Amino acid sequence: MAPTILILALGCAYNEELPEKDILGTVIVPAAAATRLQADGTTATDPRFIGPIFLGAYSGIDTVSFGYPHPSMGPIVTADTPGDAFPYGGTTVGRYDFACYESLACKVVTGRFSDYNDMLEYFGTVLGSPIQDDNGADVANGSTFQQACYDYFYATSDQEMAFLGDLDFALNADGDFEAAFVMPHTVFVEGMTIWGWMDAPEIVPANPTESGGFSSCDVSTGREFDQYDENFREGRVYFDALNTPSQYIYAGDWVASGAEEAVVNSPDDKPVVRLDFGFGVGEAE
Amino acid sequence: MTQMRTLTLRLMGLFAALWALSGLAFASATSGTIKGQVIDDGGLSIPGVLVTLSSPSLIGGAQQQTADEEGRFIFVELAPGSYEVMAQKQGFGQVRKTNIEVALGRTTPVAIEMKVGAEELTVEAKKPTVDTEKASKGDSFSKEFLSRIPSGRSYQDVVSNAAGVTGGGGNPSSGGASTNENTFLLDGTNITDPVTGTFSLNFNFDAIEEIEVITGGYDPEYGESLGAVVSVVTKSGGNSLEVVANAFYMNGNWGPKMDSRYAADGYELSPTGFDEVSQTGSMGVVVSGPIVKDKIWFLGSYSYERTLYANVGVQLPRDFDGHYFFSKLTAQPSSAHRFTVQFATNPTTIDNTDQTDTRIFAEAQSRQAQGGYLTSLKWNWFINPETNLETAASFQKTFIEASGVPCTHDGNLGYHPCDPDEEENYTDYTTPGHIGLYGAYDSDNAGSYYFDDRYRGQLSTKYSLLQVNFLGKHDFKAGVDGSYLLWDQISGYSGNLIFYDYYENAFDPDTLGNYAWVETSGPSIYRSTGYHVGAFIQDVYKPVENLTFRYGLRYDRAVHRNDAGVPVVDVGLFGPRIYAIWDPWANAKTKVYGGYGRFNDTGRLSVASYLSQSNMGSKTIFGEIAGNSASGVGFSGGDYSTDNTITVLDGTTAPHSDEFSIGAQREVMTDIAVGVDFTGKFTRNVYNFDETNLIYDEDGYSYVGSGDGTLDSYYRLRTPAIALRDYYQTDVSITRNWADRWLLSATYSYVVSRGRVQNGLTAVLSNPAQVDLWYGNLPYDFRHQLKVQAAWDLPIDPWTTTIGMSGQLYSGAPLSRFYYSQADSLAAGGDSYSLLKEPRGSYGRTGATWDMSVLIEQDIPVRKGKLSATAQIDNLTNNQYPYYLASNYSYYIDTQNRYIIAYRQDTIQAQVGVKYEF
Repeated sequence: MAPTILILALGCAYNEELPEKDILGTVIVPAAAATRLQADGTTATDPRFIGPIFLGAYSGIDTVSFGYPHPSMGPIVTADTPGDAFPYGGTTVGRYDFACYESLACKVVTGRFSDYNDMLEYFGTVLGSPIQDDNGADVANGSTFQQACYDYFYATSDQEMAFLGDLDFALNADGDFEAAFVMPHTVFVEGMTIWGWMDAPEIVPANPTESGGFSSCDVSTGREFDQYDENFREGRVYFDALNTPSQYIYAGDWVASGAEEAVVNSPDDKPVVRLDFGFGVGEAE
Repeated sequence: MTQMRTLTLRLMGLFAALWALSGLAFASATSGTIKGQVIDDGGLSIPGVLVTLSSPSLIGGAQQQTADEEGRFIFVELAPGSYEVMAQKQGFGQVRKTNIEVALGRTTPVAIEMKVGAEELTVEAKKPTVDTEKASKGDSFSKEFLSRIPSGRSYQDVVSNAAGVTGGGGNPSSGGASTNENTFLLDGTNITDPVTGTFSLNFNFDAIEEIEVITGGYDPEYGESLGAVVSVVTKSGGNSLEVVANAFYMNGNWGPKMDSRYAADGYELSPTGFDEVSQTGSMGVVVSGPIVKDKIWFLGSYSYERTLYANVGVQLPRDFDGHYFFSKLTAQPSSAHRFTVQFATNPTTIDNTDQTDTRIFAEAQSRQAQGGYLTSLKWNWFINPETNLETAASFQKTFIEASGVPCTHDGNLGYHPCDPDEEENYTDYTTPGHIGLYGAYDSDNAGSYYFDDRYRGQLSTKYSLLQVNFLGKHDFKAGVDGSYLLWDQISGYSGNLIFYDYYENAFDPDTLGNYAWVETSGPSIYRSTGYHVGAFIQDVYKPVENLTFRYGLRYDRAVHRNDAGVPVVDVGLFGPRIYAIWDPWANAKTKVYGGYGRFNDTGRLSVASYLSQSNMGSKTIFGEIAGNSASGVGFSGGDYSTDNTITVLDGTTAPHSDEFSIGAQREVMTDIAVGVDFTGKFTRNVYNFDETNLIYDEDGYSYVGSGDGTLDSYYRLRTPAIALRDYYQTDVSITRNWADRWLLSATYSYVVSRGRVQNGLTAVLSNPAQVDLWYGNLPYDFRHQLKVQAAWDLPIDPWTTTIGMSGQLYSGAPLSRFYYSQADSLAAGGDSYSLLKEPRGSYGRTGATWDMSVLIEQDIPVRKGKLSATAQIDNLTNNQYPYYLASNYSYYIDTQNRYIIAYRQDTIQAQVGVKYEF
């Protein structure tokens, strides 16, 4: 009797009938968006070039106001300032995370690196900007990197390092990079469009030490580390990346064009968001 | 052969009598019941026997009934205590059964065998070890039991002796519930704080007759609780004058001090400060007796308690002064009517409440007064032995008044020692306060004030209809109850201004340039109201003699309004309950039981207050040190905006627990019973505040946008299905009734407490990306728990020496590690350590904790009355005490992002006292 009652009781879980729903979907980053110039002068397609992807649910897409598809905006209340976009909900695929060294502030995105050596190779070989410790010396190996992280965070396991571990993207049959996303707690409005953009890392061949940064991250804010003679901030994403994306989208970044497959007509829809428009590049093939 | 048949018949008759007795009848929250049957030596029932009940606890004098055609009789609404039943019938020898113990909430079976033509016989009743009609979990603590084991001499301290109750203090977690989900009853009157859901009244420990802690499986009569029901019944007096006086003194510095702190990674940190002062003194008196013999009894009690407690380096100790008055008048003008009137008040002052900062100046200490009063009236109408009606009304006020000078009770400071309820009148509302470095106040005025008044008015009525024959025996009970709740708060800064001096320890007008000041829009004046309504119907049904069903239905409804009158909480829910108890051998020595119950939490006024709309606005104006800048041109909100950024969701329901239990108990030896039981408790839809504007990244680490383009938080109350707790408890127990000079009660519990929310109100789930990680081991997930109480009387006559002990052991509590987050779930733009990277409670565990206390009570012969001296040592063992767990924090993060588990040996406290009963 008891199991039956349990099933009945739990089966009758209260339905809040919330206006918010969790939207599940897929984001596709074309191979072109992950193809960049390396420090050795060659180009390579590498998922580590995929920066943070900001996804929002909007009422529609504005293809007129900017040089790229942009979410529909609200009224302009301040002269010469574009009106904000007002998302019903949003999320990211990858986020900024501080990776133990000041030199990496605003340069590391979660879901892009498998281990410490992977990061050393990316910054040192691919970008030509080796990771430096707080004394300005190049970090020699993964073990040193790991120990620095354990000391910095008082951690005892790599599982505590959010910037390491499972990778977000996998190659799909078309040769593009694909990742699943969950946009939680989103106000569901029938016909809303999931739009997003990818902040591509800055690549500065002439000065590799400046490579790897992102325009949507503010290195002057974030948690402050202040110990002895060391004082710096860990960096932080701008809070309005989904409201005023035009402030942070520059040439080389990729945005979604808002195709029909990104329109959500039912909470059960599985929208597909293709970042198929490269700002300054055009639509990906 | 004939003898064998006779013996068989007698045994069958005795078993039949026991079947008949081993159940039925509701014993209410404040009383017990005696139910019995009279049989002859052939095992046949004897109708028409005159049954007389007498006891010093029985107001109205001896009660008489004539046994029915089946020889049955029943006495209801009996105060806990020792009773005597006498059976008389022409032609039979009179039988007197003595020492029948009536306990709170229980039915005591009495089997009487009469013989034709026999002489008068007196039989001493044996206390039953197995209650074959009870399916609820929990423990009862009689005054005799409590006098033999160590306790903190308060009903709050007794509660933690029950199995499944964890966490210290008077507001523990029971059955995995939060600390504000218990219900406290005083003689049936709900004294649960209407705002916080905690206890709200103190009174003399020696006025208590019995405490019942019900941790699960309770009847529909009880509601509004997901945790324990703590029912305290006080003495009522008697036909003889009784005086109980006591004086106790406890010092925490009589034992050795050990202290150490370790980080979660084992790194040893510098020791924390240890209490420099820790003393408690108390004295009290209880006087009870007759006003009119057998008709009107009185009880009056007073106790005074003073506790001094100081952390190392703090100039003045926290000085707690409590005066507890409790009085009760019980009148039974006729056998059909009983009236009970109660009044209690407990004015208390606390000086020097801040013990956290060793640099705080004496004149900067804050003061607090608190207390309140309770008055209640109860009318019991005994329409006939099987039918009665109970109607009760009560009103309670509690208050807190906190401010700085001039209200202090420490004469050394030279300030005016105002009475508790006068503090509000003494506070200077006009002169702005000045706060120097480390919070030091200017001696002229306090920086802020806070006044808090809480009210609960309640009405209830219950109707019992017992011994109804319909396909077996039924005992019906139905009732309704209602409470009106009100909460007034006023808080603010004197003069609506407060000055801060960054360099000076006290106000100095010459250093004005160093100042900043906060200007407020005015005091925050807040009123919240609400009501609870409950109705229930229940039945104890025995289709056959050795099988009992307890079932019924309860409905709870509650509305709590915020300061704008918006019904933030508006819920109503049914709570069905059904339990079965089987006595397989029908000998009252074994029971197998199980069942299901749903318990509802109708909330507290504090839930609604989180969505208040009239909080104080403020703006900060910086002095020269910051270029005379201001934080804004207008007033902005503090924690909550004065703008209407709240929403109320219609789709809320009452948090509730679905509890399943199964168990067995058997008397294995005389007076010794062993038991095993399992409880699964699934709590859903716990109150949760949601934020609807801010948008997080995929890990909930930072905001990446918002719905309206601002970083304002928009809150609403939800009761989501994801706000849940899953609790499993398996108990193995052994109980030895007091007999032959010793008693024992021991329970081992294996507990699993998992879920997403521990607290009865939480906002953690408002960060949607973190919701799944919040499912893990909850803070009270102490997997192994052992509780033991034992007592032994040394056989040394004429002196009586009692040695008692109580001990508790808990395995480690789960630790969560929280990481730096750029998004605080409560304040937009705020940074905090609130990010989880692994399931909650899986980072590690603290070490095991235990404590054991010992009591020695020595009776001292005196010409009149009973004089006893008591010595009690708390925490005798070298226990490890996780300091932060005591504050309900299972983790602590220092400034270096290090997770500290602070272990400390609790103070070995010695208590000595004397008690005189006349």
